[in-house]
Amino acid sequence: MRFNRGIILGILILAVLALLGTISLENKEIEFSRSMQTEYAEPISPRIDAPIPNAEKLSVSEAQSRVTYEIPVPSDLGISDIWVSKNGIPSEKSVAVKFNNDVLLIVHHIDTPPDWDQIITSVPQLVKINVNGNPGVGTNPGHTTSNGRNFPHPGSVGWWVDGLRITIYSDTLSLDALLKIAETVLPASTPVDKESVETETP
Amino acid sequence: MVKWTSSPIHFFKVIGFALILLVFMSNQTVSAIANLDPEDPTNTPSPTLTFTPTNTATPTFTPTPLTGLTLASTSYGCTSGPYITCSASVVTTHTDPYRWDFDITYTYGDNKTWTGSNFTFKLKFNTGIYYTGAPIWWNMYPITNEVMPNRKIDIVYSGVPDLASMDYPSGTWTVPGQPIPYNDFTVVFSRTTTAPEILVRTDKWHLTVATYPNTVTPTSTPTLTFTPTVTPTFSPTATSTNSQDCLGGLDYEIQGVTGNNGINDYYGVRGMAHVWDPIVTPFGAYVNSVWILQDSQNSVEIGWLERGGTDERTYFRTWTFQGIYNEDTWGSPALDTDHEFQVFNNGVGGWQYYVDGVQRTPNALLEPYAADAGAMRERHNTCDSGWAHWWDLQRYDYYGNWVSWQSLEERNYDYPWFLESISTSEFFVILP
Repeated sequence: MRFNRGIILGILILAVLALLGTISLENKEIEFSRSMQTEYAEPISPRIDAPIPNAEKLSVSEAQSRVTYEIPVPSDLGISDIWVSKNGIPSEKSVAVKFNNDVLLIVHHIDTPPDWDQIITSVPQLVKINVNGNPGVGTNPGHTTSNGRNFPHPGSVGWWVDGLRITIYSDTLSLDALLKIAETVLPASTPVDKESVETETP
Repeated sequence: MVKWTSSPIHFFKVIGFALILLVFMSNQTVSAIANLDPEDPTNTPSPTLTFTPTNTATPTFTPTPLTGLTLASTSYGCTSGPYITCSASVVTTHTDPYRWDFDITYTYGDNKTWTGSNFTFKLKFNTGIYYTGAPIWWNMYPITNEVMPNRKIDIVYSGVPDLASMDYPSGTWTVPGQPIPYNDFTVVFSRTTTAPEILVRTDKWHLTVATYPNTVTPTSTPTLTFTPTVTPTFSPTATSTNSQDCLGGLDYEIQGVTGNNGINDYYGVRGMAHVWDPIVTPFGAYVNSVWILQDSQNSVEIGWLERGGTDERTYFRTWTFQGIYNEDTWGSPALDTDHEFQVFNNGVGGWQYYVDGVQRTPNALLEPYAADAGAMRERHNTCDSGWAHWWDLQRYDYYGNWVSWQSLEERNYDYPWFLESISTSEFFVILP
């Protein structure tokens, strides 16, 4: 009987050891995976509910009716949400479009093309790019480091055409992938005088 | 196989060796518990709790109790000289195991130059600590009547010096460790109207007193004795209380935004802000800033901040372009001083940043854009200080003019804190 008790006790101890070993191993794995991640700090920038301030979330057709330019969108992406700024005259309203693959496109009216070289001076993480012959700047997703803290940023491609600054963002897609999407964005048409068009309609 | 079964003593020697190895492995686990951020509600030490009963090792650290202080009672009252009237009321707006908030109202009619009045508010704490110092943070800000001179905080407790009078009392003190636990000590907040003053008015201010959980990461060394009292310090109850008290990892903001005149697009913003000594948790931040925001990925900003673990205030500015955030910090603004912060773009040389009229260079060489203009108080942890005061807010319009804000809209990302509007160009951030 003593012999049997010894075996049973031994088995129980081994079982406990196995359980403890499993728990310790799991914890080590958790620690390891944490140490492999980059820790990001919270930027100080102001929060905002929508991609653009003072904006209305609208249907695609309603959004298009609010602006006098053709809203530029990539050819192969499904639209998830679209916002149009409340302020400004129709030719100068801003538009933001969220696509099903989480790509974000923001359009602002700006009279003259930005000085991309100057911008890179202040934001050296950017590189010069070209979208269908229009110069701009872009970057891969990554992070900047300031005062010992890492701040994440999305990948982006931005360019200017026909009075519109168009920028595409993604947290996951590379600069090359974003450039391919950008090249499918239909060029913004020449601004249309919406009021004169509507006047001609009976 | 024969040896295993024929020699159980040898068997248990082997098992005992394995146990000692596990003891050292278990120490790694204890370190993992100790390194958990006590302010991060997502960190739950539950896996290690099941491990503790089998742990035969002893971490040598003795974590400081999460709180060694209990608020026993409060009292208040006022006294005055001849012909002087005074009355007071105190409303408790928030209590929990670590923090107490009070709204204090003090009304007095002081119409003589040769006498005065005195208001006191006492907080009596029981102490359950010894051998260990207990930090206490406090913060006071005005709700009615900003100028309140001659306030003083006295601590009736041996070994803790009194604090001198100050305009916006805030900071921290430590109840020193003693070999024998003291029964109690008392904190006295007093406001005295001195003899030369002739004032008839009501002052109201908010007081926060807090004892936050110990955030020091202890070190551990394995020994051969086991003290089970270590485990309750990391019990789920304590963690739960932490998560209710301090939430981090987000921007908690109260914004004042101007606009609503048809075209609320501005090319610059400026305003005055008070610099004080905020309470900031180790992983938190307290920020006052004015900003121009074109969209979620493009903005410029300037102000002052204190990050957790520094106890230092600094000026800062940011420029975010296509989602890429850049930050520049400099200087050390003196406590209890007022400063003008300004950022604008007149189309020449990019965005320009100024503090008190002194330009911070280089400019952010980004195009001018017409966008939202705002001022805000931001904190990164709900236990970071919350109040703020912005005034003389102006925006830079299309014609290149600085004009006082004509409207003020609140955007609240930090309920129940809210924006208390004094005018369209001045606001406080306070609690109800």
